[in-house]
Amino acid sequence: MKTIDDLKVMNSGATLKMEMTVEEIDNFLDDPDLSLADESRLISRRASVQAQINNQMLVQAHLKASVITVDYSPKDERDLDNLNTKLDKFIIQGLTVSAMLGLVPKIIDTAVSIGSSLNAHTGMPA
Amino acid sequence: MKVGVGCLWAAALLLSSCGETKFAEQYASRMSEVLKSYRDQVDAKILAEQQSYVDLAKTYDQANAERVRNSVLVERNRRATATVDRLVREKAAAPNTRVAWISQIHGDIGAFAELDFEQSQASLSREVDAYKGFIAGLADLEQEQRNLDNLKDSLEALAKPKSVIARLRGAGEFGCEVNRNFQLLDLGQKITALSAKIQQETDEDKRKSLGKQKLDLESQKKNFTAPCSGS
Repeated sequence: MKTIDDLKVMNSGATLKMEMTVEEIDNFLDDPDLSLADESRLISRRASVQAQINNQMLVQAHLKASVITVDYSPKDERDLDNLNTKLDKFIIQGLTVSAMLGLVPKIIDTAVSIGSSLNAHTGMPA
Repeated sequence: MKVGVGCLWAAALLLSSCGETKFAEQYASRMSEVLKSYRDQVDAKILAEQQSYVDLAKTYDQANAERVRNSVLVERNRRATATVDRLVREKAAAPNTRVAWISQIHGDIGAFAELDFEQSQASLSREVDAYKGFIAGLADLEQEQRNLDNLKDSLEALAKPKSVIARLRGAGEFGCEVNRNFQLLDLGQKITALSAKIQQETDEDKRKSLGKQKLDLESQKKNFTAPCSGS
């Protein structure tokens, strides 16, 4: 059964993964040879990731205030573990710009699913 | 005989009243313990809530700083794209003319640097604990703790055995109530009996006399309808 601490670890993991993504995007943005079109796309992706980081940090704050978790069904637990594993498999270092642009939406989707699952089991508003 | 039975009833009721007082004291004592445990839980909850408010405030502060940074990035990209578009257009219009002037590019960069500085200044020079501004208007959770303490104190006072004077005052009130209810019962029975007698009586004069007696009894009964006051 998932405890508050388990959920905090998952939430922190999702946030960390996205912070690493922002860092990698910033490295691309520092490249003087980057085209303006690519820069524009990367800035847009960066804003999306940053918004999701903010969201995950709000979830984390709610988790800290939670004293109970509504029980997960075995299927819910499996789904959450799968999402967590999936997030870990996203390797962001050494990507090309286009690969990064393609990967970011997947990372955000996975993080959003994790955040929604956490919110739904702590009695906190989504 | 009637007086003896009345005394026995009064004694039994008095004893049961004492038992109820004892029970109420124990109940209040137990409730006070439960409330103390609840107070501990509330303390932990409030601490967690306060920490989460601090975390939320830091998140909002960080989000605000990121918003400024993002807007600067977007503006830089927009201005660079606009400059490139202008140069391409001018070159297309006059292929043999020089369109890019270093001084103009420097001017554009300078204008952007000024904007960047203005936008970022507030964010970079803000206080370390600027996030606290986001929690300034929040309700004070300590009020809830104080209310709980007051409730706990009231229950603890209730759980303490009453003083002799309080007991005597309570016993006096109890006796008054017993007497009042007894009188109401007695008068009610007498009125019912008189009503039956009036219905059976055929002599008009006797009916009037009985009617007068019934009115007297009903008047007496009215005096006992109000409960005994604590004073």
